[in-house]
Amino acid sequence: MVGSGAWISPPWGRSGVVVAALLLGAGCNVPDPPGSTGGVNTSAGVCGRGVTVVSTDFQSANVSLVDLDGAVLSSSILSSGTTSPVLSAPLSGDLVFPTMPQRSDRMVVLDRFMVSVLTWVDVESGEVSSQLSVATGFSANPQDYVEVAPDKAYISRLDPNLDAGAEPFDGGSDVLIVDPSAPAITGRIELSPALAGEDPAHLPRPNRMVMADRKLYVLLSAYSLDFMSSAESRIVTVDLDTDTIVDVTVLQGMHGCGALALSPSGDRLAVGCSGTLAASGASTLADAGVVVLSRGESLAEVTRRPAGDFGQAPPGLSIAFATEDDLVFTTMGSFGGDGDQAADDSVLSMSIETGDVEVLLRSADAPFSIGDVQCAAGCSACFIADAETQGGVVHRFDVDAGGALVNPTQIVVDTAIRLPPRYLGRF
Amino acid sequence: MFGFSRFASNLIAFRRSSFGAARPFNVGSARLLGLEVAAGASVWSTVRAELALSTLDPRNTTEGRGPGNDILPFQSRLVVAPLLEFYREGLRRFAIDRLSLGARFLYRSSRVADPAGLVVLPEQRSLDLELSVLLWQKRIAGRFRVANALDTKNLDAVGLPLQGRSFHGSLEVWSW
Repeated sequence: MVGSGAWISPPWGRSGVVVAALLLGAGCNVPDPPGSTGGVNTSAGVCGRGVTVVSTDFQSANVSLVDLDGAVLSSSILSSGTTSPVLSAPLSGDLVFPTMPQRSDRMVVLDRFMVSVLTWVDVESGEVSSQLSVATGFSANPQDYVEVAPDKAYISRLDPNLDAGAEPFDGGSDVLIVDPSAPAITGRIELSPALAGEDPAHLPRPNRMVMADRKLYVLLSAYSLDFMSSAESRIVTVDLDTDTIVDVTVLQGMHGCGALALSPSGDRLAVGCSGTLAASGASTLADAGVVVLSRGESLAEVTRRPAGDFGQAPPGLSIAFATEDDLVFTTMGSFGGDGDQAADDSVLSMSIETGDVEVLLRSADAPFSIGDVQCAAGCSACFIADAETQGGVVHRFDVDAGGALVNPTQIVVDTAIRLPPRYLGRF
Repeated sequence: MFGFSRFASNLIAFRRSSFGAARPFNVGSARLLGLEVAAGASVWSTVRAELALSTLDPRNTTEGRGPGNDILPFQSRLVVAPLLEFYREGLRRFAIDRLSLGARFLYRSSRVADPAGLVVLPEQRSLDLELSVLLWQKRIAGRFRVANALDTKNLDAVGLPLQGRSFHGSLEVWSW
């Protein structure tokens, strides 16, 4: 209403209006996000301190710390709500931890697609100590991190740079060498020679990495630019003294391999392969499965199990050794055309020697809800992230003398933010 | 004064749809309650005041919803925009039909930018100043505006940064 005339004072007076407006304004702000619950001062045992948990709905994320007995050490050491003078790039919803345990007093978090930033966090204080962008001018999508010395680490970058050459180290689909103490990018390992003789439409697409005896093992999924076709997956061996490729092991008949683990002794590698990605988003079973290789002068295949042996779903993106002879891995479900679950996720344990498979968990209604698996074989404990059960829990199992996973318990890692757990690491 | 309530089904959320990929799905429901007020007054043919106020209670009511936060993203619960203008009309000696100096203040309460409520876009305050003059039977209109005169850091509806203090001028000429 707009009109002319004298002011009409409200019955509670003008000062009342001002007070009411201030109260209204103060009450209408959204609540501040839950703050950090800080770091931990527990000393690292033979198996490290425990397990890191990323809970995410793919829009924002929270990081929790759990000890190897399943006790929550810090429910939110870091989250997308973290603000810090050191934190120039806020954390997104696409965080993961390295495949290998992080044994130093700092742990690194990889912020993957679109962000391409590594964030180092002091374990004791919970404070962000530094950040490094590995984008080099494009969305590099870093996947994994292996630290070999305080001033040297390797980072796998999944995506290629279609307009490379504008700045140093901007090739993409490679392994980047960084100095975490600076932090700064210091070098790059070109992986395209590992695909010599293949259709040039297929890119290296490195994802998970592990290290043993001064050798870095890099798993290449070898997808095309649109992920609709792939070459056979392969493992590239890099000599850490020369930073050169010394061997390429093609996983014959296996495509879409994205899970990699090193055995407790360091003598074996296990690989999980999801097969070729179909247009529906599901994967085929024909070229999917689990492969176990022995390490030596070169990698040699010990055994393999095709995905058809496990049911209707291919292996997922996470695999771990429960013992030297027993594996734990996930399989990926899929959505049907109506958006409902067509195939469920599962967690399987498998004896390498006998090939016996046991189902440990299955998703009830939501595929892609079972996330990472992590085992501390030396301490007889395995952990599985589950985004579905009770709104999201981490399952913990004891590993008995026969390699069986027993005594399951469920851990609620956070009761304030309540994002579902999906990714695990060790620290 | 205007009050409203709105109920939404098929609220969009993100779910993982394949390995390494998430896409939006219609999975939830929402409820919004609101109140809007618009009022104005002019006194002594010299001062004009207006007030626009909007309050909103936007809630995610999805059954089995995960995160503890239930406030919908990118929705301010209070937006207030008062205007105060001083003006004179009919200054014939200078061929001025109307001369005015106004100030409009915008307050927007803080918002969350994600369903979990971890990312908070801070509350915002912005002050615009405008000097305008209408000449020759309102055939010529000249305006000069200082937007965001306090040079505060503001964000748009989805959290992208807006420009700081800026200056704008316009001149309109009508012939009939």
